[in-house]
Amino acid sequence: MKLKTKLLFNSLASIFVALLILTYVIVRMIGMQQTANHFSNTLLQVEQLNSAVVSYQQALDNFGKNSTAGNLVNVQTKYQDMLNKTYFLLHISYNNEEEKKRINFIRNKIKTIKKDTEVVIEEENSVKAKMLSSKIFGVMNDIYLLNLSLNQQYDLFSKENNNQILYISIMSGVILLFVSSMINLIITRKIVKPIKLLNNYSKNIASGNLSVHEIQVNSNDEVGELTRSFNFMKGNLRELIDKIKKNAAELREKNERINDSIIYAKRLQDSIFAPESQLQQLFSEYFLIFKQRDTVGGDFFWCKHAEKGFYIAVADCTGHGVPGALMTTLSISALNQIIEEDRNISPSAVLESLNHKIKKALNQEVKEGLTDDGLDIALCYIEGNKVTYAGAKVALYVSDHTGVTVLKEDRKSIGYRRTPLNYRFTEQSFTTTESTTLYLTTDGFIDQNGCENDQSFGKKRFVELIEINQTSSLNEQKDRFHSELKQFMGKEAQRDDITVLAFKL
Amino acid sequence: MSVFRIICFCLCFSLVLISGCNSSLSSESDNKNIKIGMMLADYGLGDQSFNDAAFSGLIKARDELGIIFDYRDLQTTETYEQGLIELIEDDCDLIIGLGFNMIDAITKIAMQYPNQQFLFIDGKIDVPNITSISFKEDEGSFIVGVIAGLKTKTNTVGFIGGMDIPVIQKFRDGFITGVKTVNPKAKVIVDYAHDFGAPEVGRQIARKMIIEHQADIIYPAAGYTGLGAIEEIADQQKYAIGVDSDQFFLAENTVITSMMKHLDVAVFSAVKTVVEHGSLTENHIELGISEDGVGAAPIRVIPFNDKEKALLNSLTEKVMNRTISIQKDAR
Repeated sequence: MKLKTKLLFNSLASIFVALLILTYVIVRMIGMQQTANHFSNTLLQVEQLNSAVVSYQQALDNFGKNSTAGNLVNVQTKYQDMLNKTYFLLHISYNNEEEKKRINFIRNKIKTIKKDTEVVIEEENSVKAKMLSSKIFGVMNDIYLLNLSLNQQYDLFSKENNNQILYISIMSGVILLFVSSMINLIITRKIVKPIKLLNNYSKNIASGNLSVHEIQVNSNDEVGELTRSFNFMKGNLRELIDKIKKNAAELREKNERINDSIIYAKRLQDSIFAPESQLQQLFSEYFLIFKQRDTVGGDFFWCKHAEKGFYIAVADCTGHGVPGALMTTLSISALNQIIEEDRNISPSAVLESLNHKIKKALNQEVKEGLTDDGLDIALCYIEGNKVTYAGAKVALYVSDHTGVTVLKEDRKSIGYRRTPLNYRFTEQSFTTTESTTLYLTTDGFIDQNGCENDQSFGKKRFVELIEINQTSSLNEQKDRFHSELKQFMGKEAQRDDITVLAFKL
Repeated sequence: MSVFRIICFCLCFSLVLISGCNSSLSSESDNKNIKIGMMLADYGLGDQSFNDAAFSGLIKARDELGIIFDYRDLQTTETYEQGLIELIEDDCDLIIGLGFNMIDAITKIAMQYPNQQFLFIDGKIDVPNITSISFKEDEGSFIVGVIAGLKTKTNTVGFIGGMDIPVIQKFRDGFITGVKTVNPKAKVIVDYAHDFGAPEVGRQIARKMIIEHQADIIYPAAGYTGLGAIEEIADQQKYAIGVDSDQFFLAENTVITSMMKHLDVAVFSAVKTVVEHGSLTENHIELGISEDGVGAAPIRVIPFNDKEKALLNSLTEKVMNRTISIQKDAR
């Protein structure tokens, strides 16, 4: 049954009970009405008899006092009239023994009156008429008593009727109240109980307890349908969550494996990178900021002794993470190979050769090929206080007492497809003084975005940073660079690998 | 569960209401009418004297005082005792007995039912639960005796007694004293029918008095028996004096007056006392002229001049004041 039908049935049940009670009350009232009619009919007949008897008594009295033929005729007429009015006594209904007795008295006395009347009429005896007239007072009293009794009964009956009507009304009101309340209560409970169950059920599900038992559904109403939907939903949710859990476990396993391999890769990369202690031997003073974004990265610094001087380079390979790391190993081994082949090679020649090698290694000199990777690099050859610099998209910042000079780099990267195979890199040479400090940085520092306006740190700000800290020691500068970058980044994450190398010869 | 509480409250409330209704049902028929029972004497209703007079007193009481009454007569109950017992069983508050012949029966029944209140009219019975009302019939008879003494032409008047019993003797003595007071020469012929319900006997006695003794005014104090006498007197075109009630209407050319015994007054006042005080207090009540218990009906048929009226009035005064005494066994 639908919920709507149930609610309708609920109100209809009350109305039905009310109708039943109403019918009962009406039937009772009709019954009372009939009894009352019967009563008043009897009362009327008794009253008519009484007046007939009175008339007859008067007629007899008249005849007794004045025995004319006319009065005698009157006696006869009134007598007949009275007799007609007595017939109802044969089938009158009585309420008690007293009335029964009274009716019998009246009947017997009417019989006596009949006999006496015959004598009066036959003999035209006025004295007898007079006597009979007095005698009739007796039957009149009996009629009076009968009438009184009937009236009392009628009064009693009316009073009882009124009380009964009141009683029935109140009783039926109470019964109606009780029965319809009961029906309402039962039906409402029937409707509400599954909703309550469902409510608890859905609370359980909402709090994540999917192991709660399913509700058995018997009804076909909306609540039943809703319950079925909930059961279905619970099943689906459970399946889904099971799948997610399984996937998560798998993922965790895979992630661990990848992490393991990356950690191992870092060890490999670290062993390829020049140890920082080498820098200490090469420079009188230096600082190195080397912050890879991930465990392994695409930035590297490299140094190599030549016949007279040494090479120092800071590079940024394509990407970061594992691909970057792969590129660093390729690039470092290529650089090492180049220097080992010709220990007096100029920095620009190194870059040209590196370009060549990378392109070859990655098959990027031909048009087909999957990759377009390479690196940006700044390379210096240092011999005594003479510095020769060649740069592929990485500038060299030179700071001395005159200020900061930015040595322009070439605008081509190494290895990329758009860099021609035989691209000629330029190189610039200069000598340093004691106050000269050289700065090499990959784009990780300069391109790092800050939290305000999402701007990047910028070359200009970098130059200013160098200028401000010119007089400080390099160790202090390292802290300033760190803190400045940190302040600039705010909550932003590190975007790329960051490498800054500053040194004095 | 508050719904349950509401339902319970409603039920309790309605139960209180219903019990209230029931209590109002039971408080009914509080003012039950006082019921008087009357045992009629001798012939019963229609005797035009004794019974009819008492009965009319009851009718008046019924109509004016709101009592109800029932009656029995010998036609239905055969004996007085049976009738009295039936009335007692009918729960009558007061039972009235009439007439000398009932004395034995009512005495016996009254002693059997000491808690039942009785009223006996026309005699004196010394039983605690019977109140008796007697009439000074001698006073009333004295007055009609005076009228008869004044009006007799043959100087012979007759007296027919129903029975030779003290009550009738009072009638007789009063009548004779009245006649002799105004007409000492007049002769009063006395005879008894020995029956109150035998009109034929009354008729014979009357005829004998008229034909054998030339009596021209006869006073029958014999209940229903007297009716026969009055019919005969009417047939003989002599004069009669009625008894107990105004019997003029029995024979309009014959009955010159009647010795009225106001049984209706006696019955009515007794019932009134019962209605007002709940019971009758006095054991014996005697009603004379001064109590309006007895008296003469208006004088009709024969002329009665002012002188005679004045004489009658003065003699009435005297008999009331007992300045004239009734002579016992006067002849």
